[in-house]
Amino acid sequence: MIMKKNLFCCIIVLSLLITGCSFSSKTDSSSNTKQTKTLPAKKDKTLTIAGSGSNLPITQKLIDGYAKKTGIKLKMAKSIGTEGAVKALQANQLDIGLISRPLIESEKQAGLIQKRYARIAIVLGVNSQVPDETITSEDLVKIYNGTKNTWKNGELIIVLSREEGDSSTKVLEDKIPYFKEAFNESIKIKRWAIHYSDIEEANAIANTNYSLGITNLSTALSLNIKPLNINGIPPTLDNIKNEKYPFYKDLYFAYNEPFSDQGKKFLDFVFSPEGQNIMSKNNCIPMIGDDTN
Amino acid sequence: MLPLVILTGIIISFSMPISFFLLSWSKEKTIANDLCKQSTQLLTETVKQNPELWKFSVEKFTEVFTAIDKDLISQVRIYDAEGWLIQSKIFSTRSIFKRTGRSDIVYNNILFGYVEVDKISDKVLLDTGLLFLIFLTLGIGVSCVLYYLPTKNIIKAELEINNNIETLSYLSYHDSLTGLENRVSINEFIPNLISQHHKFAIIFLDLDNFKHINDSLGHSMGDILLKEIGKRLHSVVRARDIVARLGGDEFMIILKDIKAGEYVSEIAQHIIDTFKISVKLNDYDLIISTSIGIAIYPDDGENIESLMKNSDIAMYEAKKQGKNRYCFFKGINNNEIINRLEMVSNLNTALEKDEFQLYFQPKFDITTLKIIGGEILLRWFNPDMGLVMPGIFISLAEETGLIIPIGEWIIKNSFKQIKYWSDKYVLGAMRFSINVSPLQFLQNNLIQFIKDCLNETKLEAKYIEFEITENIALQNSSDILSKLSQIKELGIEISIDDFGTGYSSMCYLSKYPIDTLKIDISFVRELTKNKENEAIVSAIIAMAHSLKLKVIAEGIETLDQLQILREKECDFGQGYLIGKPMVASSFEEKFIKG
Repeated sequence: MIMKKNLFCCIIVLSLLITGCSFSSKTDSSSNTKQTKTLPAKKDKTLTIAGSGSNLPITQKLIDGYAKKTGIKLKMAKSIGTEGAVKALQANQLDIGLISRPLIESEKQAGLIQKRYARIAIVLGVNSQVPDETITSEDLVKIYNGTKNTWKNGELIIVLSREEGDSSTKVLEDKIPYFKEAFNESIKIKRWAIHYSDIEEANAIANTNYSLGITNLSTALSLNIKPLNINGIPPTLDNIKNEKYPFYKDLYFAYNEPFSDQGKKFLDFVFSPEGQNIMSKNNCIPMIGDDTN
Repeated sequence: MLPLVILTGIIISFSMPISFFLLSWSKEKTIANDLCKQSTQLLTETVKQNPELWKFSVEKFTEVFTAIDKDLISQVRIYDAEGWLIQSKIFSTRSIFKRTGRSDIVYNNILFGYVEVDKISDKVLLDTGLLFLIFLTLGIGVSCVLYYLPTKNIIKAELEINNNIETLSYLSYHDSLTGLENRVSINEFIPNLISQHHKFAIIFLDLDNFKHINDSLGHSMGDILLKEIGKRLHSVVRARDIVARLGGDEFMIILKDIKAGEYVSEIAQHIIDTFKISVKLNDYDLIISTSIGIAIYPDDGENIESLMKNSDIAMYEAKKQGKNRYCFFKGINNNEIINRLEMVSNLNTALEKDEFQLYFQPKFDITTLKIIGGEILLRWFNPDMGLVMPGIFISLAEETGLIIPIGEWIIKNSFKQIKYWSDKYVLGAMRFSINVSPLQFLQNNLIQFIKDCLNETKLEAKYIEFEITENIALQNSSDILSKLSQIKELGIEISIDDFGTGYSSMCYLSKYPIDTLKIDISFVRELTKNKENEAIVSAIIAMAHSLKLKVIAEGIETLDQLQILREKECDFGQGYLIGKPMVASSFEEKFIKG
């Protein structure tokens, strides 16, 4: 009788432990559904600008120019990425979002407005120690495949990668055959160190000897990163304009309607000749009033 | 035993797996929390850089999700301070067992949010299961060992117990000394027989004077004798009959399915005849007799109690009739039984109450009728029973062992009386005979006692004669010879009492230092009526004289008897013709003073 009681107790205890744990994990999983709840609107009246790291350097120049002209100092947060900017806009936590890709249809339908304001060259930037000046598409694929791993001076190539889905990387994926496969495989097997923002990536390239990474021309030149010619074509604004250098992306402002007067005033400045001039001076091609909305 | 073994097995089977599970479960929590902290560190840095918009830093979340060990984690969830889920990433949906860790995102002592990580803990379950299987096997093994080893011993112990029970059972139904059935067995057996309604006989045996042998020769000798008797009793009955020892010197035989009393008589006589063969015990050739009482079912009782009681009564009847015989139950004489019990009780206190008295019967020369001494006899005067004759109480005294102190009292007081007379009168060649019982004679201290009494009373031994029975003389042993010789050396003469009634062996007459033969009273009484008796008396006298022994005849009551004995040249006589037993003062007055 005692034996039966003890056995029953042991089985019950074990069962409770097991089921308890399972229930616990189920509860946790179900918490995902809370995601749909919306956050309260931004209360701060100061214009807030935030978004992709690709947009930040040129936008900062524009903010500085705007401040010089109007005395109004706009606040720009550090990089939260294009996706972060979209989400923040949707959550009414941001006035102007800086995005480095066009809005997708669902985002537009959600009420977001985009204004393209610049085109920047996407470059394969290398550390100043690297002797090479140019790189072919094939070599780039080989590098990311791991089959080419030295510079021409024999030094080991150190690739500093962006995360999967990065808009700059995506430009190369779209334009260079087999690069997408090579890149995805390298990410999958964690072949390279990964950086999750443009500025981190650029800083890493600038500070790591014989390193190679994907950045934009404006940022590269500002940090003494050498942009390589791809297939013999240097990443100049002219080569972008005449379509010889196909690796570029457009930068956009995104915002909700009604758009604030402050925001409108800033955008007016950006699209003014003064703003256009600032962009041209900083290795960007201004895209005046060209919105796709 | 079995529940304990099973409990042990369960403890072994479950304790380790449960302990392992609990420890692992706790460790999983720690690991999950540590994984959370790694994520929290990255997010805290983001919060530091961008406290207002950190929760939109999707790139950082990607970094967090990328940095985490996907093999360990099934899901990561990032919450803001209010508990809203900001971002989550599911790495695995296959895990069924998860441990959730949590770590807060805190910057400048402000809670910005927290991270939850579901650590995959399926391995813990798997390991616990494997461990359970291993320990279950171990538990079963240990249980088997615990069960079967002691069980083996238990079986062994049970066998021993069963053997002991069998032994105890045997002992409970058998007499340990003789191996015969015992009283318990009889008490079960008789009711069974009664239930079958078949005629059967209960033969109850009590050894005559066995107590004397036991007391004098020791219990070990008595035991040997009892064993021998058991064997003999077995030899005289059929295989289906029961022979039992009830205790002490009491035996019982149950004769089953008897058709006639003759058969029972034959068996009883056969038993008595069997007892006539002497039993050799070391230096002794003992002859012992038995008194047998017989009760028949259903004639003498319809239940065990009445049958046992009636066989006992019949046995006492046999004793009463002179022992060494058998008696069938012939109805109950309650007075007799009550008297016997009363007498035993009184006899116990008779010495203390000084109820015994010595009587003296004159012995005379057959030719001259001159007094040559006397036989000292005992009389018991009980206030309730009056005068009790020796023929009645001596057998009881022998059965109860009281004969020893009574015998000593007789010797001591006889010596005193004779000393008194010897001091007062000239006794000349007078000798006074004292009867010594077989039991008393077998006492180891007899000689020393006699010496002490002689010393104490200062009596000359020449005035004393001891009368012993043939039974004593027939105990053919060096001890008897030694004692008789020592008595003779003291100056005391020895006479064989009741000669002619026993075996009258010529052997002991020549071997022992005997002075006188006393012809049994039965011969003298019949002397004038039966020529055969006369011839026997003549033969005894002739034989005694040829052995240089004197002859005395007791029970002479008529002149004819006296005349015949005189013609047969009998030396001495004793009987009512010259003088009855009388008190000391009368004897003194009549036969000593003058």
